[in-house]
Amino acid sequence: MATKPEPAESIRRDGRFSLKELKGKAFEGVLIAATLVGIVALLVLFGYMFFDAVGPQAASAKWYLLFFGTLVAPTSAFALYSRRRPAVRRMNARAFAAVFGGLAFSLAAWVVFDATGPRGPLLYILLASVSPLLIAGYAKYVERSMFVGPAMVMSTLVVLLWTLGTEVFVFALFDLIGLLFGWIPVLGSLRLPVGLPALVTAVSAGVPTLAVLWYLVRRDAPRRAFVLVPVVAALSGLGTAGFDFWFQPYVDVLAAWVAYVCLVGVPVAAVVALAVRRRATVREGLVAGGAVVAGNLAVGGVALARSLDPSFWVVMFSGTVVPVAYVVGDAAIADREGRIGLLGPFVLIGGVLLGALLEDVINATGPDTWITPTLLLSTWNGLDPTEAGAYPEIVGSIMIVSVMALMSFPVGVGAAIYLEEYAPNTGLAGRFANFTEVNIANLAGVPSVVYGLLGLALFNNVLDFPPGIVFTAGATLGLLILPIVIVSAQEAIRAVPDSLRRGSYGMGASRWQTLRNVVLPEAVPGILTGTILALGRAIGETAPLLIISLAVSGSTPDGLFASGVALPLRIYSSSANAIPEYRKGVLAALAIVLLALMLTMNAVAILLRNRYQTNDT
Amino acid sequence: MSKEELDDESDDESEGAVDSSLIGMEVADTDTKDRRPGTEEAVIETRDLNVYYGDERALHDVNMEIHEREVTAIIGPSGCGKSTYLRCINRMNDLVEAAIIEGEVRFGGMDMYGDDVDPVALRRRIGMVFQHPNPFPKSIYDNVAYGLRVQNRTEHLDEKVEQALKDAALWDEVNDQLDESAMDLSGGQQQRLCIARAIAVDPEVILMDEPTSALDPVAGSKIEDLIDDLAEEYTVVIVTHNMQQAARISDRTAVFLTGGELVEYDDTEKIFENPEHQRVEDYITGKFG
Amino acid sequence: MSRQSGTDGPSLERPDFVVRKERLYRRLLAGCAALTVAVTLGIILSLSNGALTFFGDVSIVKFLTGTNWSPLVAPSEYGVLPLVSGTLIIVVGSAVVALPIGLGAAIYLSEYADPRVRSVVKPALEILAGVPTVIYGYFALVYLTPILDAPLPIEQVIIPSWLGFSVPIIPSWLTFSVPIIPGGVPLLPEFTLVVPEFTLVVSEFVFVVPSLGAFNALSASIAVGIMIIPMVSSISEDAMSAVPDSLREAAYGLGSTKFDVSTSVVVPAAASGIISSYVLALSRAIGETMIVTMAAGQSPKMPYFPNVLRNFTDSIEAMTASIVKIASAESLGQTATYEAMFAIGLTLFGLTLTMNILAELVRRRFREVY
Repeated sequence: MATKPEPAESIRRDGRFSLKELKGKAFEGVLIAATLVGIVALLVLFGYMFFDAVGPQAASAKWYLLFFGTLVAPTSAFALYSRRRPAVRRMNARAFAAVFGGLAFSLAAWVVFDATGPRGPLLYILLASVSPLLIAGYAKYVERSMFVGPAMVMSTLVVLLWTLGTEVFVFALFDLIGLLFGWIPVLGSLRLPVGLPALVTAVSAGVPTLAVLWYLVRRDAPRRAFVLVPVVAALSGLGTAGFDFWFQPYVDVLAAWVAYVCLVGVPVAAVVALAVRRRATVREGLVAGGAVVAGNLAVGGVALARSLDPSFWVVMFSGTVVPVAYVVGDAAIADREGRIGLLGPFVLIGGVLLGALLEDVINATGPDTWITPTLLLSTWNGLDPTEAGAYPEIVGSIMIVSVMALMSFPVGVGAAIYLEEYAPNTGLAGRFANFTEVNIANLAGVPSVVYGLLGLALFNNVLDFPPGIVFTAGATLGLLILPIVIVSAQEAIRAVPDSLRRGSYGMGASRWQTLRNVVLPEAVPGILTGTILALGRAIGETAPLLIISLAVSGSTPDGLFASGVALPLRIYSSSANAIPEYRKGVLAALAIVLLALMLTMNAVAILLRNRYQTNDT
Repeated sequence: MSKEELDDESDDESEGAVDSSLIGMEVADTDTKDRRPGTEEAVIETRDLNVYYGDERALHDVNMEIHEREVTAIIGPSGCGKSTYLRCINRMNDLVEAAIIEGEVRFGGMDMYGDDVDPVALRRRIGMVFQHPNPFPKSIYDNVAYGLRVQNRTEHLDEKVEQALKDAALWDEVNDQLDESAMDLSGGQQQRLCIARAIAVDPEVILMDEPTSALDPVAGSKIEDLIDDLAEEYTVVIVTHNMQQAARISDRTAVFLTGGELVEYDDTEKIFENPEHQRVEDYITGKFG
Repeated sequence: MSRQSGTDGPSLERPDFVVRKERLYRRLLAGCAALTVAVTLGIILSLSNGALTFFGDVSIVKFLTGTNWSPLVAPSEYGVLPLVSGTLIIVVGSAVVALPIGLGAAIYLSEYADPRVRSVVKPALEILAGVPTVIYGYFALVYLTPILDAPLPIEQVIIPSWLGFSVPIIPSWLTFSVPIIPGGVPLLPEFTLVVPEFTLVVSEFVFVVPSLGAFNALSASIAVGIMIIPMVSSISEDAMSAVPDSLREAAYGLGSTKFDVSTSVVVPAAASGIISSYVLALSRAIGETMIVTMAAGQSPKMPYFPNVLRNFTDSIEAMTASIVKIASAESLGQTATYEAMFAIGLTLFGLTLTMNILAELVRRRFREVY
């Protein structure tokens, strides 16, 4: 480059060493390295962990050959076969979703209800669903549907408040009032004329009654409508005394496995009935639902006769067999082309089972793994690594995630709907909405440990909950993921094309009708995907749990208000264990279990998204 | 102007050759049977209507009456405010926050921007069909039933859906696939479905915002035939880019020119044959726009 | 609902009940949105409530200027500077890892990678931020520290002896020579490595690793750095993708190479986005808890100076770790130590909030440009 070349020469590519080109190539190389270094570092660390947890080096060549033959070869052959056949691939994905989704659902349901006992949750579900069902039935009877929506929403809220918590919420409210106004000298020294429980009862029975009375008077209701007042008074009085208390004896009569049928089998049957009704007639839907319930009872009976645990098999039947049967039946009728795709998950499972069976027969040495039944099914042991298990922690984490979902999903989606569909850009409400958006963005950046402090202050100090209960953990993490849920729900809602909204408004639909009938059906898969991804992330959160002093070790929590344990906390607390087998064995295995839980949730989210995308075209 | 050429071709087939410069009179004569029995009664009146989007003035003192059971066409170059005007009539502009509406729009003698008027209830009586077919991602049946359902008028649903589809000249094509997704229909079918959806709720006025511009000529001419039939029962207001279309199907024509000004509004024959304003004549003969 | 009813006005209203139903739903939904504001208020209230009680017991000046943090050992001392120094060390260390790597990845993804590669690599990078921090902490403690602690094979790798020349970074008369010391023995701040057959002069800021403790800031900050790479890369990449192609074309038209375009057109044009991503990533590093608690240890100390390197090889305690330490301590009750947690939490919250707002402001500026 020192001498200026001739014009014709100057544009010819220089065959010799070119500094410029080298610089460009080197730069690109550095960039590629920068892009990959993080991924590679993580992979290396995962590799170390995997070796420590699974110990694949201990397995003999014979073992590898065996599993190659039974598992890898058939599944890859199947994958190759289905690669070019979209119908098969689609059906394969559905079958995988049904089989493994069903398995995950039924196992999660089983471990949680096994820990809490089936009767408590059944009671709550009965109480929470009876009043909306009654209202829906009444509406059908009088053939007016206008009031159904709000009445169902409100009655469910009220019943939940009653059952979950006169004690939890109303007592806490009084504590809060005391905290807020107690410092005023006169009020602080004021003695209540009656006991707190009496006051709580009076308030929680009186407020709904007075509200109804006020409403009726204000609207000049006819005299016969005032019958409602004593009804509401009686109902809320009953509720305050504890609906659960009144219903308890009847639920306790049920055998445990019948309770499981009601708890898991009946909802599954209802879903099947609805799904069938949508594609066929009401009668066929009822038949299908009835068949599921009958199947449940039959499975329970057979299990009893063979002296197996009927509860477990009932849950597995409803959660796994029914969805698989539905998908298989559906494919047999509707999708002849892709039918072969159903085999996918069974090739995989069959391969694993066959390999495990043959492993002993041909005497192959398997890997020296730490992921053992002991690890998954027994309790912790800090002295003997081969005896250490994390069953309570796994169940605790699943329960915390469920609470988290219940807390953050309705609120998050509600806030997203408000911000996207209702909030104006101008005026006071517009400014409020803008502020909320900025606030949500900032909340997403608040360190998780600060949320822990919030949970500690709010639930332990103000509401005076016992320290380290499952509810507190779930609610704290629920607040943590709330901004993420809101943002992803907003994105999903925003993705619904405006022309649909305009079409609906042009038809004279109101905002709410447009939302419920047009916007939400389109947005729900996206919302669910985002929420599940957020939940999957939150399952590994540890710091907030430490702050709200969740127990590091303990037994399986038997309810929402029992002392909780969590899997990531176990990893943290045992990382200080001096015995090397813990650090480089049990903990590695636990980390893999935690990642597997996360991956399962992510897989569900991805399946949902794919299904959504294929439906959309 | 390929679209107009195509439309001319379809004219050739149906109603005999029409000289493209002399469309007015002949088309109005051949296509529609004289004047419709319009009642001469104004369903919708606008007085000094002004619309601003932020600082931009989209409509400029529009005074206009729309008569019952007639087809009123609104034509004009792009950006002249004709769609804005249409959207004022059923208050779809309410959904655009920056829009500021001044003046008076009367529907059946009642100020529709008054405090006591609920825009949702208003839209139930003034239906709308959009430029691009926008069926909901539901079944054909559910699409047509949608409006009835949101208005809680679910008695005799099946008959009403069937009647609407028949009125929209779609029944013969879809009667065996009512449960299939509306997204699988062709563009023209989708647009007729949207019309069926709009008339299923039995509105008084149907607004159409360039309903054929996103369709091919054959599908477009079917929609035009349909509009012609609809005018027997409904008041139709149609915004169109296409002057031949306006001439073919409308009883009255309003010409909006740049700046959101209503320049001339009269019987279609007169507008196309003998417009009062030079600008309108220039526009119609294609000198600009 | 016949069509002829067009003239009677009142039918332009919906039933009262329906309108009220709509309003109910609207209010319920607005309530959900308002709840997010309540969460912020709750955070501020609960943190400042605890912090105010704390500052009633401990003077705020002592808190901010004290150099000794020992809340759990009587007599308790509450000087926050050692904790701030611990957090700073982590932030600096992770910044050294993440900022250049993240920027490089962003440039690669935005300018060099073809769409197919990008569609694979981008989600893969995002995984880095999705791994639970407790697992990162475990990695750093159990795997990274021993790897880093292994004696570096200096003679073979860094300077092959057959090269036989010296690389004077600073004039050798400024330094004095010591024989090479095997990894594991702390080196003096200023030294010259004498490798058989030639001399390498190194200044004091060199990365020769003295012996690592079981808990050390180095592995923790590397892990935090890996974790925040995707924050830097994805936001920076968004900023770079937002640079209009016309700028690139103009530069190419003037005969620039891809290297020139990337470094002298795209990066400067996206500078505010890149800075914003840096600020956000560092705010994330400040708030990171589990990695620093597990891998960096819990021994608060003031930074070493001038041997800066030692700060990374020793155990430290970051602000977040101190909160965890107090929270894990048994039955404190409402003591000053317990409230100290909230005081640190408030500091953290204020710091990260400021940084996030700052990042947003910077980003808004860049949005206005295009």
